[in-house]
Amino acid sequence: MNTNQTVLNAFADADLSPEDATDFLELWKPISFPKGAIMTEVGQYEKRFYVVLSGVQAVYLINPKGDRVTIGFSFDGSYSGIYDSFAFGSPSAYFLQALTPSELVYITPEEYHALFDRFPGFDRWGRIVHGQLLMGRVQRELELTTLSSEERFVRFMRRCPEPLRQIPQKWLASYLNMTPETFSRLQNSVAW
Amino acid sequence: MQINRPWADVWELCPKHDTMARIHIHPEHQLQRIQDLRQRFESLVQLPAEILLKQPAPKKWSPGEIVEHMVEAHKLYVPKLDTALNAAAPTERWEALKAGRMASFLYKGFAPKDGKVRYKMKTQQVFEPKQLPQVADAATLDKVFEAFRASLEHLAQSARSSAEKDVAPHRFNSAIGPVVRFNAAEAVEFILRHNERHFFQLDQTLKALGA
Repeated sequence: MNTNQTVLNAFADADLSPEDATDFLELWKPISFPKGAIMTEVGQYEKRFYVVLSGVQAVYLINPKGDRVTIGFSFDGSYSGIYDSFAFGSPSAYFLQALTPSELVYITPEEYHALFDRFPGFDRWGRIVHGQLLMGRVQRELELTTLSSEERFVRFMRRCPEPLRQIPQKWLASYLNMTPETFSRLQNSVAW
Repeated sequence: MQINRPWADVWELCPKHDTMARIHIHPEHQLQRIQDLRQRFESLVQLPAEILLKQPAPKKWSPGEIVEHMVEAHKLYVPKLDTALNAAAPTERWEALKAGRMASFLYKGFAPKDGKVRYKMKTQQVFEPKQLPQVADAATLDKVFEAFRASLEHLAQSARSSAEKDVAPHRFNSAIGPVVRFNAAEAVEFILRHNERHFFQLDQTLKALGA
């Protein structure tokens, strides 16, 4: 899939006319990161809203024990960035790291906020995306607080997108709040 | 060779120092903690200058003097860190590294426990606050605060740089002397823990001042 199509798919809910789509696509700038690059650091201000063309990125922080706590992933076709920092202009409380070589396109905060005035369909897009974000976070919180390790593992593996199957298991284990050893044991003993 | 006796005493008194667990240094965790100090510091500077300049008791540092001490302590490491990091070869590390035994021991001693500082240390004269004891006014306080912001920025830059370089071969003497030598990541951790200890002292001082 080419860059324009990937971006338009990511914003399908904005229902852009062909003329608006042309103007909209001109805003996006390409950027790439090598494997392991820290794209955004704790304390920095997120200045980019990304759409991922290829690669996997993780949002995480380190807990006081020194363990990595993975908050979420982005991958081919999804949005990426530290959204709260980007949208509200606050310092990032998380790291964003490219787990694999990553190709992305991005817009700046000014361009992002102007979308809502410039293209009427973005109010609809905003409602849908923010609702999905909220539902996703609630679902994750419920899974972390009410499910066993095995249940969390099964649910996640059933919906796990293909790009995430390529990254080191320690990242998935951290996302599911279990040790890499538990993750590995479940992978070898539980059918999903 | 000058040895800071309080540390040496503590080391000799510690029965388990041969088997002491070595601390893992995470560059991301360092950056998170530096950000935490930034936020705590920016809250501190909102307080009125008369509180920040006031000593809670005779011979006790004011909040401003505590900040100046952190600036002075950091200064010693600036050229050492810059030289070591410039000499180190780039890597793609961004992974935890194990601090040396002596460094790990010092780190553990720094951490307050149960609301108290466990090992008290006498400050070497070179690290005593210099400006505020002479001129305790708002303008001097601003200068000290600007210097502290710059020192946190240097610390963050050093943490970032040490995560991306092979720092192990490039060691230098700590403030204690050649008895403890650090690589850049260990030195960043040392300065950070030193600052965290003094932020604990700041909290205690503000409490004593009723702020």
